[in-house]
Amino acid sequence: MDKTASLEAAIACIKNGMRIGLGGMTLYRRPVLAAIAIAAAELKDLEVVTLTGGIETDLLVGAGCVRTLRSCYTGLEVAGFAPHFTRCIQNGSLELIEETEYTLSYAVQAAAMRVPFLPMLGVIDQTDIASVRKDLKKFPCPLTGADLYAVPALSLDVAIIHTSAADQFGNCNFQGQLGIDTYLPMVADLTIVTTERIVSTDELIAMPGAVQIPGLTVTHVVKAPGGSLPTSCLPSVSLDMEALLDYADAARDEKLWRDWLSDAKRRVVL
Amino acid sequence: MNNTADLKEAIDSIDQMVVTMVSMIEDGDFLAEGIGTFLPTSAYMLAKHTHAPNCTSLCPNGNTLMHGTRQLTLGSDEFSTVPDAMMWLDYVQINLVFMPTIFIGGRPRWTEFMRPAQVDPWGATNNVCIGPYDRPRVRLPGSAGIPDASTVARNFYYYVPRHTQEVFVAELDFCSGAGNSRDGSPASSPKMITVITNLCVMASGSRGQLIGIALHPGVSKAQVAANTGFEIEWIDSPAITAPPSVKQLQLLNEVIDPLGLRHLESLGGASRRNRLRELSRISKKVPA
Repeated sequence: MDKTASLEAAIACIKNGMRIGLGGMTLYRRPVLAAIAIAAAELKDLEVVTLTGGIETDLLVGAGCVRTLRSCYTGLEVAGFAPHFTRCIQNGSLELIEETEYTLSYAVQAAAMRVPFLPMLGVIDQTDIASVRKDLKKFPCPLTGADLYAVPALSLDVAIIHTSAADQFGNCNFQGQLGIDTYLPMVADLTIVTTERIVSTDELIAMPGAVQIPGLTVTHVVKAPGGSLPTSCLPSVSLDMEALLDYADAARDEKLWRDWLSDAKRRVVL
Repeated sequence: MNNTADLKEAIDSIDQMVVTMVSMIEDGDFLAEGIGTFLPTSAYMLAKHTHAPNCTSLCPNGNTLMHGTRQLTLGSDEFSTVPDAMMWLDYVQINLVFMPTIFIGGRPRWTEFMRPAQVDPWGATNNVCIGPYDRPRVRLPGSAGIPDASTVARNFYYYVPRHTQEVFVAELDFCSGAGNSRDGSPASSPKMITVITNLCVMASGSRGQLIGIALHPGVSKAQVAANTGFEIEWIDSPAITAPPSVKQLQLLNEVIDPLGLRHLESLGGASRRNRLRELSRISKKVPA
């Protein structure tokens, strides 16, 4: 089945209050154009799930689309703090579910397995993480009696992933940083893929890494060259450091931010 | 940086930290790089160029396992690692299989230097917030995998490019990196936590608390004390760390990190962003 769609049609499937998962890692292969389209559609009260949040997450926070964020790190990596995230946590307007690399990986794996939780070692009690994660329930291991924590399964309404290439059926190739992207479609009701290029299935299979996400889990394929910018998309798109720094400066100033966001929205036609 | 002397001092202390890290790396180690942490990555490459050629690196910018060395780049490490990788992993494989095997299974020897925002006397750390968790004065980016790794690893390394009383505190605002038990019972065997700063090296003593074990050349115990927010004990005769050799500096400046990206780690906020803009222009002029 042909799953190609316009960005507008794909984003129209996302409703206020949904839980959306964003692919990529820090400054690599982030679905930035899709995030801008969500901001342009003025969606509200989203719960954003991302192993690490970067510019795509921060701009959604700055545009007022996000109620709750789940991540174990949100920042602009070498370029420092994510300004909107930092400000909104400090002023109490953004709820953060404090993840670690393990808690989010366990939660997604549990959802993929269709089990209610996966057990994590009780040693996390040596930190303050469990004290701010009341949803992690401590229980004795039925085999050894040792303390364990149940990490609840986490499924998504929509997964949004940017890829190097895809075919019209939704089969995806990406190279470089994989993040947890190959798992997101398995736990999502809808999966929107934005892609640098739409190619034939044969071309896809010949690429390094071949098919990383099978089309049968994908619902929308949107052609979006440069859709990860300013973040990279191996092999064709390099990080645009200056554009990232422009964002970092703009997001710290009310007027500059309004200008940045309205310019960005003009990149997407809705 | 206000003047050339300050800049020179910062550069020297960064390279001093690099070579101190190198001295702690053993041949055959599994070296886990951070993302955008140029200082330890410089140390890993220098170790591989010299006494530890058989180390394997985990490069998180592409989650690749890599033999050999490479030159550091500003934001394109993914391009210089993935095509040459031995193996290429995703984060669920890393977190559910590789890391537990290495941290809890204990093999191969894993070495990673992480950067904390706060460190307490027992080697516990904070990368989450300054001030109360619910309404922090400063929200930090987050702790990533430090809670997972620090609670099971027997050896843990941190680095602090700016040793101040704001970093070394008596009480953390939030604990995201496990330290040693505060009861200091001699029966419990403390994990070995090592902290390399721009002034000195601290490591877990027999009761689990951090004690000073080495000073960088020209640094006094009084200087360390004045910049540490808790009282610090010293071993009887703290070592003086070996300064970078001519060969080490040549490898760093000419082969591993000609752009000097490791020196970004002594900069924060707007001064870091300004330096990044300069470096971005410089690196565009360098042919690939």
